[in-house]
Amino acid sequence: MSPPPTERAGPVSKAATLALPVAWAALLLLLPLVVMVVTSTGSRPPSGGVQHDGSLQAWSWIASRGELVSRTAWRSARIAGVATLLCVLLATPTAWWIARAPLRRRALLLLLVVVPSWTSFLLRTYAWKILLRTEGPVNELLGLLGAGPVSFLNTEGAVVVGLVYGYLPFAVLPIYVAVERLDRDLLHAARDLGAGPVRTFVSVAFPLTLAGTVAGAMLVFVPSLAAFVTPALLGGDDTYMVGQLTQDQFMKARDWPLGSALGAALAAAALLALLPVALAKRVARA
Amino acid sequence: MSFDLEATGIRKAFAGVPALGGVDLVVEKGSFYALVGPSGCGKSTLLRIVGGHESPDAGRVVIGGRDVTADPPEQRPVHTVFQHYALFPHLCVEDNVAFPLRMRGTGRRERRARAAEALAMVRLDGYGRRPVATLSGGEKQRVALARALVPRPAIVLLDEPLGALDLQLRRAMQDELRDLQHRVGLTFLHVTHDQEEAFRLADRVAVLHRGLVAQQGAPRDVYRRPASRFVAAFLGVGNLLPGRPEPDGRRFRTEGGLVLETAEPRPGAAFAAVREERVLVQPERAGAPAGDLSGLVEDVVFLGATTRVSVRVGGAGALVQGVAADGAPPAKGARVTLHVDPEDVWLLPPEPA
Ligand SMILES: Nc1ncnc2c1ncn2[C@@H]1O[C@H](COP(=O)(O)OP(=O)(O)OP(=O)(O)O)[C@@H](O)[C@H]1O
Ligand SMILES: [Mg+2]
Repeated sequence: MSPPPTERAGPVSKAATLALPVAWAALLLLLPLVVMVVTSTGSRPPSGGVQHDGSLQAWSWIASRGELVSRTAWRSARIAGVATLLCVLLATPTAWWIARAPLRRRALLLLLVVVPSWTSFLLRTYAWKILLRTEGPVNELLGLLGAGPVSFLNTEGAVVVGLVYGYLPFAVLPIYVAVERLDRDLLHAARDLGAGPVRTFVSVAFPLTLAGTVAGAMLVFVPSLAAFVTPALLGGDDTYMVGQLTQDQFMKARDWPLGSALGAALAAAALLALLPVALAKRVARA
Repeated sequence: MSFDLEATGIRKAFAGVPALGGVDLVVEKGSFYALVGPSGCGKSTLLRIVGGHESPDAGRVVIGGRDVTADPPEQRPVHTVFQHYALFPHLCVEDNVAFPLRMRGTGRRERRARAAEALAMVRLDGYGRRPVATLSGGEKQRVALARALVPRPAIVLLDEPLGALDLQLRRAMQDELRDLQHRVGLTFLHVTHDQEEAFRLADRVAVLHRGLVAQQGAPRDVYRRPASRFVAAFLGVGNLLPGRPEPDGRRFRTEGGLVLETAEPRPGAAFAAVREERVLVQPERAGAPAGDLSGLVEDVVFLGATTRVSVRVGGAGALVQGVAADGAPPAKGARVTLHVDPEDVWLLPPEPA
């Protein structure tokens, strides 16, 4: 009798199952990056767009305007950092609350977390603009309480609110998965051995769900860093972010090489910022 | 006499289904107390209520004279060895063992010293820096034990801590556990569904049945004098013969027409319980003592230390399990004599409806 075919097919099918995600990653991640880098080494023809001539114009512009670029970059990092921190602070209790709900209700709660993402991000950000403007409902409410009006719009605070609102689901989901996977016995054991609820969280629950927290933070931080819709609608001149800077090269200046160079620089910076996190994880696992 | 644990009238239902129906449990200080019962009878639930991980619907838990019913787990002088150990995967062996000390603010130096001491006690010296994921089942079990013992709680709760180990390791760990309990002198409340383990380890045993204590007492008494048919069956009594006592009370007539003499009459008895180990099966010979039974061998099963023989006695009536006397076991179909001492015939009351 011949051995069952699945046994022989094992290594082959394994390679096949690996090939697909690798192909996807190459297509979705690598290809745009390559296009971006290639485009950044062109020059802007008078009519706009790109002319591939191997010039380093765009990069030398970035180098010469280092002050503007780095100020914008730092501001972006600050805004994205605060938004990420707030997202994690809000997402953690939310994820725990969902994970502890009865099994049947969990699916519904998770659905509620992602439901807002079904409408256009642009639309939802406009909604915030209406909510926060001087004649908006928030200020009307403050007026009833005898306070305000406060000009929320055009501030970093408004941008942070918009980013937190937009990206909170990206933080909730991975943290929820980590909490869901956490062995409840470990929490009982911690309490049993003398840890109160807070110390149980700090010494056991948090370290054991850290991977989810880090994943959630990255999923919020990266798009926040590159955001352009939110700061454009809710922010002002003082909240100009790298995403806008990049966007403006394409849409306003029609300078594709410069836009690409900025995009590539942003991707490289994000990669550099996340590298230590990835390395720390690898070290911790070893 | 002082009691470390007094649980009274403990009731607990899950979604209306009762898991514990009014359990009373008194555990003497420094004793090794075993809770046995079939799966689902509420052993773990009772342990979780004592540990504070579950709150009872009714009843009180008093530990060392203090009512702790409303206290959270961290405020009870009780530590648990969980069935699946529940070691913290992000901490090394030493940090796991030192965890309860850290939680009560013991200094780093003392923590290390006491953790090392506890690890030596469970024969894991030198394992301190190992990540817990690299330990074998038996080693994990011992780390969990060390972690529960290191702060010297009043009571150590053990929820089937040996359940996941293979037979040989389980036997070895049972001896170690008993030894350890004698050395540290703490009160152990040990849950198991293995009656042999309970007898081997404990000073006192309680048999739980459907959320109620069916019987508690010294292992020897529970073993020899089960209180009900359920307890007898759970404790592995091979012969449970329905019937009723003869008018003289000293003899019991089974439904199969078998008559057994008993040393301890019980009016209104409905079952005779006879351990198969106490029924001696011998080749039939002339001049057997009066009271011996005779029958035909139906089945012979080799069990290692003994050979179990099923004998059809009294016509088609009763099937009796016994063990073969020394030497060659009888063959199937052979005519044999059964010898039962009246002391080994224990009568049981009828089952409650
Ligand atoms: N959290 C819970 N929710 C619903 N039912 C529960 C819960 N915990 C226990 N039960 C039920 O209560 C009964 C007793 O459970 P328990 O875990 O105490 O049994 P056990 O004696 O420890 O059994 P085993 O020997 O299998 O561990 C079971 O019928 C179980 O299904
Ligand atoms: Mg159990």
